[in-house]
Amino acid sequence: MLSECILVSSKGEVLVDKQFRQDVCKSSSGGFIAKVKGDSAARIPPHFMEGDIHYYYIKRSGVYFVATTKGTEVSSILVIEILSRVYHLCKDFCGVINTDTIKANMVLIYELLGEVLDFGYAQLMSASKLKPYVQSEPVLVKSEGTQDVMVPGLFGLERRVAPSHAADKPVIRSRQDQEKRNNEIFVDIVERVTAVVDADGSLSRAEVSGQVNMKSFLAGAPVIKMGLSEDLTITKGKQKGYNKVQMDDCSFHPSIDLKEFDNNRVLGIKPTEGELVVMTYHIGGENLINLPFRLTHRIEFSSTRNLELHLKLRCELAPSAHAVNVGLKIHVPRETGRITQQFSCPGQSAILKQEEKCMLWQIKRIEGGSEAASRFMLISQDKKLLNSEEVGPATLDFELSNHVCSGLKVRFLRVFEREHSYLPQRWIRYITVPDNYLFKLATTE
Amino acid sequence: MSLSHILAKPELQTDVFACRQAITQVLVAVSKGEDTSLLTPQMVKHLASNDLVIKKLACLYLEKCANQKNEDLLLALNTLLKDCADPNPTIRGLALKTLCSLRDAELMQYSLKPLKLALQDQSAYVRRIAVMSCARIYKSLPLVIDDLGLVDLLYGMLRDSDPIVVVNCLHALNEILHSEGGVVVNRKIAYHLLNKLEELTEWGVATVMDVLTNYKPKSENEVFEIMNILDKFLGHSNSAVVEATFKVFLHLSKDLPHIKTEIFKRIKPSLVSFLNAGNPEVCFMILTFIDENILPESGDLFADDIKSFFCKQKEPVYLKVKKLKIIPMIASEDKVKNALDELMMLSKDHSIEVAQNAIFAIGKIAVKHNCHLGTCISRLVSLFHLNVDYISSSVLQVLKSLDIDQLGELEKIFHGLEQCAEVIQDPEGLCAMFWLLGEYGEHIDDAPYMLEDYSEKLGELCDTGVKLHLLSACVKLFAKRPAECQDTLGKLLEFLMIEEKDCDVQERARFYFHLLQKDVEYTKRLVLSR
Repeated sequence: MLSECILVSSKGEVLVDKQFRQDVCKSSSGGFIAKVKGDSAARIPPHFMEGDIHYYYIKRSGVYFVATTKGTEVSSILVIEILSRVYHLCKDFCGVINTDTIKANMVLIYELLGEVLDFGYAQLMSASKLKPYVQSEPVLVKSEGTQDVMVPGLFGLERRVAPSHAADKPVIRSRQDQEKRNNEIFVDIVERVTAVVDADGSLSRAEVSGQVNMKSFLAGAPVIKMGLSEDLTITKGKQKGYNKVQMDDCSFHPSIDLKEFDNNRVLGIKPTEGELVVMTYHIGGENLINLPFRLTHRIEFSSTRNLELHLKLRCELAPSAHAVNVGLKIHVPRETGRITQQFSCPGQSAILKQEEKCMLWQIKRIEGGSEAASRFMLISQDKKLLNSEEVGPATLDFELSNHVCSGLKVRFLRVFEREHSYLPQRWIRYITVPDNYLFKLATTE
Repeated sequence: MSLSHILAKPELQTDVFACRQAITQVLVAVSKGEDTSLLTPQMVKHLASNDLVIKKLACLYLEKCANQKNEDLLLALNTLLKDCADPNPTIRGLALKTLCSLRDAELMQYSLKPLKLALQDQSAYVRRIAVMSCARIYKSLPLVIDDLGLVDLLYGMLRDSDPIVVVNCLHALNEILHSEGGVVVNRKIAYHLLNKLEELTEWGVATVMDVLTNYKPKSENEVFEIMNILDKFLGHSNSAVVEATFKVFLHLSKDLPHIKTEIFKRIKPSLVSFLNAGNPEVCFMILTFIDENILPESGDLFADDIKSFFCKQKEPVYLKVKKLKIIPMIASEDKVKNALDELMMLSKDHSIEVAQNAIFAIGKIAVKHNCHLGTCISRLVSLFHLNVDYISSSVLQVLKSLDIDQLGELEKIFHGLEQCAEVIQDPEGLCAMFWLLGEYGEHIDDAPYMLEDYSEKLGELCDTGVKLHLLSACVKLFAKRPAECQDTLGKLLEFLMIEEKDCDVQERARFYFHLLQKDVEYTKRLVLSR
């Protein structure tokens, strides 16, 4: 049983402090803030003790969600799961979570905390069931304009692309919004790629963890049928079947109807208000995944005894896909004083981060099928010879839209309401992000 | 404008939003620690507001400031008692909750009648709050519980139709009967709860599992029956439910040890999927759970899934360090190479903690899998090339802990030791280096000269442990190579006995000196005996 739940900003400001049992002294939040101030924050484990108070926390978008308990009978895993759920609820009701939105929605969050944890025990924690008991309206914190954006597509036709923050609206609608019902559904297929590539280019490890998320703004609770790729197979095979979508295992949300899944790969979903994780899946095995990026590299000593690094990053996808915010973080020898660079095309930049002993090469955008090349010169600080073995590994960060490594596709999405069915406004996004995308540059012994 | 002025404005009577704003400002002041006791009378008036949000804010204020003067709170009492009979269940529940949170023993006497009525309220929402309020009352007025016969009432309410009421009864009974060991679970109650499991929320399921650990089944058949019912929860998406189910299974199988391996096998896929899921805090907690519950008995269980324990670039440091502590424990012989590749990469990490723990992990693997000792030593020694102080220091500490008897292995180390001398600064690293020089000094050409260098710089060394290690190393080396070390040892002993301020070090120097004076051969044999 939790004694209190506190939301703290990363700067150490207490945003919300809800007491449940009044058995913890008022300075408990001070104890937490003192501990996580400064750059040792990443070293503090999610559960620690100060005096006789147990602190538990999760960190999301720069905000700490903290819980305290007294006594040791509480399961730590339970408290962390409760905090994760509190975060998701606040997100469902407020849209986006950051320090500003929490400050603007303080009253709503106090109401939520009061309803979900009575005397420190978890009660109802699902957004749709809580809605009748929460009276406050969410306050939206303004960002840029919310117009739909027109993007040039094929053959000169323009496609409507919802700006990313259209999906950031709170799912639990306020009273005013309910009058104008937009029948919209957002489906995100998000895949996290793990890849480790050796210095000679061979793949030593590759896995993909994927999630199909649905955010429904449909009124009522109609049944939705979502059809996935027909050639989807779920086996633990080692070889990839030709053109098939193959995954090791997958699990579904308990409320999903799987009657038609075996034959047609169709899921029956009854979305309640709020975000829903429809399906999670995992693909392991190096043969099954087409990696989106390949890096070729060459390290040599230049005539002036500095290290020259030639890098070529190629995006191996179809031209319709593109990656943005591509960053390659390369570890460099400790004696590196400065770097000079030469890029193949504009839109790139590189900086040397001395404290972390690494170089960050940033490319704003790479189109599918194209590559970015550059040449860096690593210049030593004190004329000492740089050790070429200290170069690498290189970790890659990117946001890939319109492509997922597994090839999973949503074939159709239809709403069935009583006698008739209709097509709602469907926004389907395919996003790939790296979990751990690593290239080893120097050969190890 | 002060807060009491804001609250006194006449617009607040009619403008709901302005009123909400004003009260929010008061609450912000309270959370900053300001004294708002003068505002309490005005706040209490808002308890009677028709707007539900204002009511809730006023109740929140009361809960936060409940330890103030009684007269102000008496005003609140009337409104709250009236609200306990309001037609709207949300208002009834809110009033009861606030009434029972007032903490003043006198005032709480007034809450007992509405509480008893609320326990039989038509609305499930109110019943849930009423049951939890029994636990609240128990905290402040423990004796009242017996007077009202609440314990029996709560046991009866375990049959309530609303699943959350049932779970709240379990919580309340656990608190009230805490000194007696919690809720008493007999066969009827156990089976009633097992049948209710489908209707409960995941948090309710976790609670019921906890309660079931108090139940003793009568026969082996019953044990298997219950396990069959609970089996599917081992694969639940909420890790708290999985943990609670595991605990019940362990309890049920206490007398059937052969089942334990089965249980571990069944829970493994869930645990691995939590590790892959990407929630760092849950991942850390699961690792702790694995460390405490599974590894002591079944270290090989995760051998095939070792890749799920490898670190990812964006993980926080605490998670990486935890993974590094566990990897050596689960690495099986055929996976050692994979593990070493990963550990070598992390040992060059720019975070000191991660690098050190990666190196220590390599050491642990070397100890666990003796056949790979040679590979581990080669990899460790290659890290000397980097010339980084904390890395070389950690490598030395690991080498000190290994039991190396083959000359081939030792030779790899010696070359590296000479490189280290320029770089090592920290006490642990220096201690390890001196120990190695003393232990294997007969094979290292330059050993006496390295020790001589350090003894001359004795003034710069501040740490007691370092000086003691240096002294032991010199004496050991003297025993092995007397001619080369005699001079150094002599000067060192002289300095330490006369000019050294640290008592421990001085004592030890005197001890060696007297021993050597008496019988050199005996000292040599003493120092060299393992």
